[in-house]
Amino acid sequence: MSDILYVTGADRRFFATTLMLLESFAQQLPGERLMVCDYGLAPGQQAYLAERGQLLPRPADLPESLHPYAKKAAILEYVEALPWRGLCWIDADMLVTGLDAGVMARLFQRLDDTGAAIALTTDINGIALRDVAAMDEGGVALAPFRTLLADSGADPDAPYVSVGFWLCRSKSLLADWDRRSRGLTPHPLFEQNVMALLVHGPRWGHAGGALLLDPVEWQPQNHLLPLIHADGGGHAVRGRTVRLVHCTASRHWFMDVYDGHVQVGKGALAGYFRILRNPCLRAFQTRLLGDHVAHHGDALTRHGLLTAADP
Amino acid sequence: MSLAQALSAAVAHHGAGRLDEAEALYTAILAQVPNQVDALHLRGVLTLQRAGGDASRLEAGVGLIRRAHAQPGAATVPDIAANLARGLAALADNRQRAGQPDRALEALLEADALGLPLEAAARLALADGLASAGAVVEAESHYRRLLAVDPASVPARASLARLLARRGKAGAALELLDTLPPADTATAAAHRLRAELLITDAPQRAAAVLAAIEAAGLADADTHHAWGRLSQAAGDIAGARARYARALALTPRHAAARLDHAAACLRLGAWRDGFSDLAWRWMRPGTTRRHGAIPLWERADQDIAGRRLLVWDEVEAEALPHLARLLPRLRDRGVDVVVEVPPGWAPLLPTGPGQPLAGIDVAIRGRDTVHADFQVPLQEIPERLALWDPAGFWTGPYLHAPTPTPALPASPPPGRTVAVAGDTAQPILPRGVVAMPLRPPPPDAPEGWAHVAAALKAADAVALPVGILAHLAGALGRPGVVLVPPDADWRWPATGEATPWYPSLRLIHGTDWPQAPVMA
Repeated sequence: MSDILYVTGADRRFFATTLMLLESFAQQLPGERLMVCDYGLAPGQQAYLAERGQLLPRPADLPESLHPYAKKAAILEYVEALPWRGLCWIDADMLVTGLDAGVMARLFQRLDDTGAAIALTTDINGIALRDVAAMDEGGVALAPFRTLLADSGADPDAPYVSVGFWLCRSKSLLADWDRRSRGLTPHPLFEQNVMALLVHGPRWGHAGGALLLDPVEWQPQNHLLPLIHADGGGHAVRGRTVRLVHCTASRHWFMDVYDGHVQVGKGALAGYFRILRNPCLRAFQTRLLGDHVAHHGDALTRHGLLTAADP
Repeated sequence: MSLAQALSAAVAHHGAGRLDEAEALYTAILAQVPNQVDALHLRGVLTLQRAGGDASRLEAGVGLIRRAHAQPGAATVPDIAANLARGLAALADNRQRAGQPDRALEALLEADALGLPLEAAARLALADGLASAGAVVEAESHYRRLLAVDPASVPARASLARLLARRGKAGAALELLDTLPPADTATAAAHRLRAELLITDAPQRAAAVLAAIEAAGLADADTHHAWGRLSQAAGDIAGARARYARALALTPRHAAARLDHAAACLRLGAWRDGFSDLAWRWMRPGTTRRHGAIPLWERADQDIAGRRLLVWDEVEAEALPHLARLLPRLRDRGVDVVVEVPPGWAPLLPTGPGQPLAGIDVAIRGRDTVHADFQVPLQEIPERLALWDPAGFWTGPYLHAPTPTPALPASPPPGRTVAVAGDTAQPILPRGVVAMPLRPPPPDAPEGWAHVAAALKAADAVALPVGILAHLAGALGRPGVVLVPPDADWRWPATGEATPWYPSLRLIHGTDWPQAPVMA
């Protein structure tokens, strides 16, 4: 085990999606463990993860009804009892395909070398803070973000960032992320907005502390999903090795969404799935689900998570 | 017959339009040599020729040319790349017409990734698709590539201008639309966009553009909507309402017109129409009507007496101080109400015994767990309770400065004081009256709202622009004046000195404060 603690988070709906991440992570980083923050898992899901030593229960003082984005920003509370030098977050709807211990060690070394507090990617669409502020097209949905943008003093032309994947070594940054996100009026991607302003806003105390990564390499998503192709044992897109695939896109384009169950072998897994249309990624997801059921089907069945498929 | 002879014969048939014969020969060649590049290519072209609007045939034709393009040496064969580009563009067009914009974009992205020579219409479709997917930077680069080849292209200019406007770059967008050919069916959308962009800074030019569109008989719902916004910016709210109504008559599901119509109605006191149309705000980008997994209280005839109802405040900071007045109405109908408020606001809600909001539970967002049977956004309550009588809106004061009063950050000045906004132009006050500048607290110090409320209570009067400070002053029942600009939101009446929302406040209409004392 390295000094890096790996975490994700899921509620009962996203649990099934998380299984693909867990399987891909286990295959790519066999010496590490990916912990799952409980954002509202069902008892069987909790028991399954606890049995595997991968459950991070909701802290007692964290409101059960707190918005999932705010729970994500409250990550320090979840990992309070665990030792780490670097904390690595991976969204539950990601697939690990080009990460290994060496890649992560080198990334951590880059943090040390540059003095950065956090490594995270810019936005896949190349947008700036001003684009987010204008995203509601004259409406009020992003009004809270506009207020925060002005308060932070961040340059509106600074690149927007994603919190789908990050590696952080600063508890102080994460504490401020939680403090500033916790009571916010929910608005689109509000915890991501807060992080973007933390790493760019001179009045918020952490400006310049981010090592900005290339999203095409680290978490291709959206319009790049159809372009990802198999490359050796992994995947590539636009000439770059893909580290993680982020199964998310504007309007849920480029994927089929199943909010019921999917059949895996002779069993059925209930939950929410985003199955990508790109044939090589669809095959990857299918293989991951099959592998996970093959390896852990008994436990999934025992906890009521895998049932017999309809004949 | 050798392979070369067969191919030559197939091409001859193909060229002469004998497609059955050509297809048979291409098929025979591929049966013998499955990856024969010319047979793959030309059989694919033939399949596309015969596809018409049949999606599966288009897929098949593209599939064959794609295989040809992937063969070693394909680059030396004329036209494979161009035909693959045409095939993918035809496939994209077919998918777009079938209501599959993402599948259409997939085809165009493939063509672009392969470096195929895209025709202008295909590149425009690619740019439009990327813009729809939010990939605005890549979309912009494709629009600019089109304009580099044909600077006069109206579709490319209009689409790029729309994208730039969406990104908050109205000036750059307008530059692209400066020289347009006269309005006709092909250019009307670009003219309309130009008018919309001119409304704020050049209303007369905007009016001229809209008039030209109307004169050409090209006025549609968007045109009337733009006219409405122009009237609204000029302070003619009744005129704006009429234009929005015309837009809705043409396109009833025009969300922006519906929402602007709501605001105009509410500013004119037409509560029923206004609150009804206000529900269209959920059609705006980035809005979500549901707050967690609790079921919505969706209909006025749904009996929720005795049930636990979560009321929440949406994203506008003004919503809570403006409409917290409605919470007792729910309580009085036997509803068990819990209201979720942002940090810092709980002390301002008078929920103690005998106080206006007695019996209302308050949950602080981010701190308290909320369990409820139903939920409703605060601004939907008037519609649920059918509150259409303006006289019934005031039951205040319904907020209070917490007691004991927190120490003010600075001692109030001696003498008569008037609370003013510290971050905007200040009104002229009567001689001897001292201005007490107030600012909303910073986002990470929300406890400052108690100080603001205490300061408003301590001041003798207020003179504030529209905004959250004015709402808080009104909810506290403080006397004073409020400056209402022509483009104020729906919570401020368009005309008259009085507002049914806040009887203690007098309205002054205008963009700037008068050049004379605003109160006696």
